[in-house]
Amino acid sequence: MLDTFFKQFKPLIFRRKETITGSDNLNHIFYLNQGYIRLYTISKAGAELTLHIFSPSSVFPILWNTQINEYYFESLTPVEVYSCETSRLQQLIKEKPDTNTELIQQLSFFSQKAINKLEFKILGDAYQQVVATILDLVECFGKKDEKDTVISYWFTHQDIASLTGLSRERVTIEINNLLNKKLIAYNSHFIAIPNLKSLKSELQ
Amino acid sequence: MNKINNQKKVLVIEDETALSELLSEKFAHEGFKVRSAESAETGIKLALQNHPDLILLDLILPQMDGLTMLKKLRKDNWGKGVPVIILSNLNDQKKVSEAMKIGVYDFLVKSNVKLSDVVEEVREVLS
Repeated sequence: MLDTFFKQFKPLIFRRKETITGSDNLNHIFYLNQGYIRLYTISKAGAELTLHIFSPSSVFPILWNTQINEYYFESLTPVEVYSCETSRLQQLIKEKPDTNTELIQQLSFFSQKAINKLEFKILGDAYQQVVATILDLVECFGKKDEKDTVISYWFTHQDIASLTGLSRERVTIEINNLLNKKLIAYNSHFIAIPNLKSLKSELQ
Repeated sequence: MNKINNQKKVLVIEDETALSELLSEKFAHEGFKVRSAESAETGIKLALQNHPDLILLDLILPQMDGLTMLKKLRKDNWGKGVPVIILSNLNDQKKVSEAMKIGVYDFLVKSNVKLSDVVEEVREVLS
């Protein structure tokens, strides 16, 4: 239902690492048709914290009824989005209340992921933060090939540093640890995971 | 010798000679090993022979267009993983959207981009 609704509007495309909008642009709501977008915040000291990665079919900002303007949306890959004024979506919800079910499902997923991320941010060490981020990327970009699960987009150590809030140097150290333990490998420019279960067990 | 062996290889597939030369010269000046092609047919041949580290691909090319070339490239075992940056024009939105479905690292709008930004982006993905 959301897909049909949003596709009546004009699509917009953005390059990777472009800011899609801040929550100051509260009168518009977006639907992600292609690509991935991260939601992040910046501390007063300048540290970034990625709270969520939006996948295709996501509506954002998810907190569109609030006045919070401390969150930013940045494309992780090239993206295609549709946008409309929030009032148009509110009208749709009034006319077709089932739309709320789709939005609530998205909100639940968003909340769960944000809680998990905060848990590792607060309780986990750098190694676990990198592992948790790689597992997040697997969820979005993972494709199974003959023997590995491959993250099918070109993520650099700098990208993973931005996603974790760690320094690039720290990420390189932790990636090398994972390579030495053979928990990850590089396969045709992509990060590959030979055994997902083994990688997940690093979080326990 | 070691420096030459570590040189990253970039393939530029662009039929506008002036832009192709500009990109090739800039990348060569920045220490990359550059090959260029003015058609998709030559481009895919060079790509599959030389395995560049990254491809800059124009969408509008004579005969075979950039999208068709990209589809062919992604069917190859090596070609499925090579990062490709699309060179597009302002009015190419539909074609860029198609290219995203096939799999590209990023796209650039030719009229909006600085050469130094292109080099920086290529350096980032090849780091």
